[in-house]
Amino acid sequence: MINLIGNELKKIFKKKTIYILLIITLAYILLMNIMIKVTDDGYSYHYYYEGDIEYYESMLESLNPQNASELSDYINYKTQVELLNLTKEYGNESWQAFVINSMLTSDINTIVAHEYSDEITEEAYNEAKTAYDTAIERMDADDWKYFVNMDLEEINSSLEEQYNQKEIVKDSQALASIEDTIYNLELQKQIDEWRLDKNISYAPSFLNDQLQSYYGYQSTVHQYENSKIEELNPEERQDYQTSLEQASLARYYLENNISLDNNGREIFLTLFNNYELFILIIGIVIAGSIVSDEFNKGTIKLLLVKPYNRIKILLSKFIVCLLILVLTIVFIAVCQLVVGSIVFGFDSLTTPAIFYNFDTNRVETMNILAYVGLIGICKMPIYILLTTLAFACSTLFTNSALAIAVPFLGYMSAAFINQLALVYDIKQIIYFVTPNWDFTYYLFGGTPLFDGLTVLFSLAICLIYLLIMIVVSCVVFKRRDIKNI
Amino acid sequence: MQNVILKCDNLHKSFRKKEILKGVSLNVSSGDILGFIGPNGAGKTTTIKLILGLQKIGSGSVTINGFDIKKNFEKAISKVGAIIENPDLYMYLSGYDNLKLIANLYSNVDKPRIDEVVKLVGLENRINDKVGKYSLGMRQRLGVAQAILHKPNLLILDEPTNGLDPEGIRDLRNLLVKLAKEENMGILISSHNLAELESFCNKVCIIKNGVIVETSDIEEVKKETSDGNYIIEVDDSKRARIIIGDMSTAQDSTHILVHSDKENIPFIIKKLVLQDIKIYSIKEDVVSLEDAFFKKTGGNVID
Repeated sequence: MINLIGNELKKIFKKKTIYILLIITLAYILLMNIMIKVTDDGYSYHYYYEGDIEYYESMLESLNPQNASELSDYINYKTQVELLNLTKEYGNESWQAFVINSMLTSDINTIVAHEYSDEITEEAYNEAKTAYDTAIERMDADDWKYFVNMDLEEINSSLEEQYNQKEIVKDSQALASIEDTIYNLELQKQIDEWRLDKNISYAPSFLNDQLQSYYGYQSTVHQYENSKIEELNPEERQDYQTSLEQASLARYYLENNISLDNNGREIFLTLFNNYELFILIIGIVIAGSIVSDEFNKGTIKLLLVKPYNRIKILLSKFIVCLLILVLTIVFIAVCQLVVGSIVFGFDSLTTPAIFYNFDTNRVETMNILAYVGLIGICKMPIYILLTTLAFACSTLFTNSALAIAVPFLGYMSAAFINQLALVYDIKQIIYFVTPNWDFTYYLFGGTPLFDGLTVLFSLAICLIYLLIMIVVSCVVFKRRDIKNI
Repeated sequence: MQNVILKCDNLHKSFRKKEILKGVSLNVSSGDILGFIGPNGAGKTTTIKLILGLQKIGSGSVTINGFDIKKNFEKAISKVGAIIENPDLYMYLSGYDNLKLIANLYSNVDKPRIDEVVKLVGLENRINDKVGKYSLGMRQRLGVAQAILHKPNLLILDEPTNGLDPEGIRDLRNLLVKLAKEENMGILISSHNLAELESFCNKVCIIKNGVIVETSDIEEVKKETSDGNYIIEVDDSKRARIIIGDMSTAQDSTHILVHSDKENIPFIIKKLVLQDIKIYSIKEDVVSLEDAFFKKTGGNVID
């Protein structure tokens, strides 16, 4: 049987088909990496675009500050122009841009308003002017910690106030609201302290992003945890879990000072999302033609008069299909590693994979190759089942086109079938193959798509479908009369 | 005595109620070259496919080297070489790679054996070219090469002369005769081209409408349908017929067919010469295999 397998491999690798497919795959990998490299602009947030200033200035020209009804609009636009000009001076990517747009807006507004109207008192103007001047001075001195400390001071005084109130208020609803406020303030305080501790300025960076992300997700988590988690509907539970995961990950990155800004690493980690179609194309094209081609070209007669049982001949072809599938995955992984390293730098493997485990409720790490391998094993049932479907169609219909089209239709409609079953609450769907073949749902304490699914159950369903396809192929192939070709 | 290599016993086969084979029996012994003759659609290829296990046997049995093809396929087929219909080889591989693939499947074929066979079929100059570039004749030769690669003792060739030029046919004939004689191979050749088979075979088996009409030694078939007929060309066939008597028939005004023993011919000539009949030529009326075939099967009639 080893001889048969060797021969089948030789036939495949002597044909151009596989090389064309592999070259197309490699080209796609290259393109994808380069596209991400070119379009990636880091973590910067665009406070202004070229043309914004001209737009607001043209608006100003059409307005008359002397006219009372247009005054407030005029002041607003003028404030915008001032903000934009100031931002432009420091640049979009600077930490100052964030400070200007989040902390100086009201001061600038006051200063501008003072110029055109009498509503602003001299006192208020002076206060704003002093704050503005100090801010400019600190920004020029590149002292972002000043602003963090200022923010902290404010938070601390608010906190003190809330704690005092808490002592007085007896009403439980009002108490709950105060508790919420306190939680939020403590969260902001935590973030400011992290900033100072880990030296994370307001400038765009991975960790700066994580600070924002942590604040957002953690407050969502807090909201859900205030209500009863058991009573959440599936959608809310999903949202809760995602928030918990994201908040925990952000906290992990911040506490451990881990900055993940190698895109090559990210693409490699999500290898099976990015290149799944190519794995399937190669697997299915090979499996869909390996039997039917021999029938169409008449070479099957040559093969069947050799002293090997037909079942052996068929199974060796099947084994070759699985080998090709594994080889394709390895090829794609290696290509991505090499291309990713060349495009984004060679440090993509140094940081381990970091993920949230819902079983232990902790953030865990794993060697990046082991992690991608694990995902691959969990996705393998999809690839094996679709490849087997192509193989079975190839054997049953001896028609390559059909044998390639059917598995793709199955692959494309799988998500649709699952969605339909979810919407109409069809319980029997768990006996179908599509909700069972993606084992990544079970990874790290994840919840399966449908109630009642377990790893062993899914494994059994996948095996049953696999066996049915192989047995039917074997029986049909064994009994088939070789007609005139 | 010769031992029987292939034994087909009362083979039946139907496709959708239409009976293709209605009890076909034939034997091939070592050293035999059996011509399997029949018109198109008579069941030649079906018989061969049953022998090779490519199609299920309806009823009856096929035994090769003592092994039943149904019960013991791997052993029965292991010493058989075959070309079925066209020599369908892998067009995108070179001739050598094609042979290498076959060689991998048999334990007794090594590299020198491949080279030996390539030389035997006369392909050594083109063996590394892609089969897609071969002419039909070259593909036939490569087909023969892959069939005899593993030194089978039974060779089954379905219409091997298709697409071969006269030189190719002569080469093939020489090769097959050599294989039968030197390696004591049993060979089964099917064809509807009788004239070609005449020079190939020592035995003949005629099939028509799924029934074997005749199995015999080729010389016997010819003898049966052609003993002692002579054609004499004369100036006046009517007069000559009267002179010779009942054993002759006039074919046209100048030719006369005489049915007689060989020993009698000089006396007939003498009689004619004495009666002043002019004799231009005289020859034995040799019946070709083709004529014998048509006589046996009653023409090419297909249900």
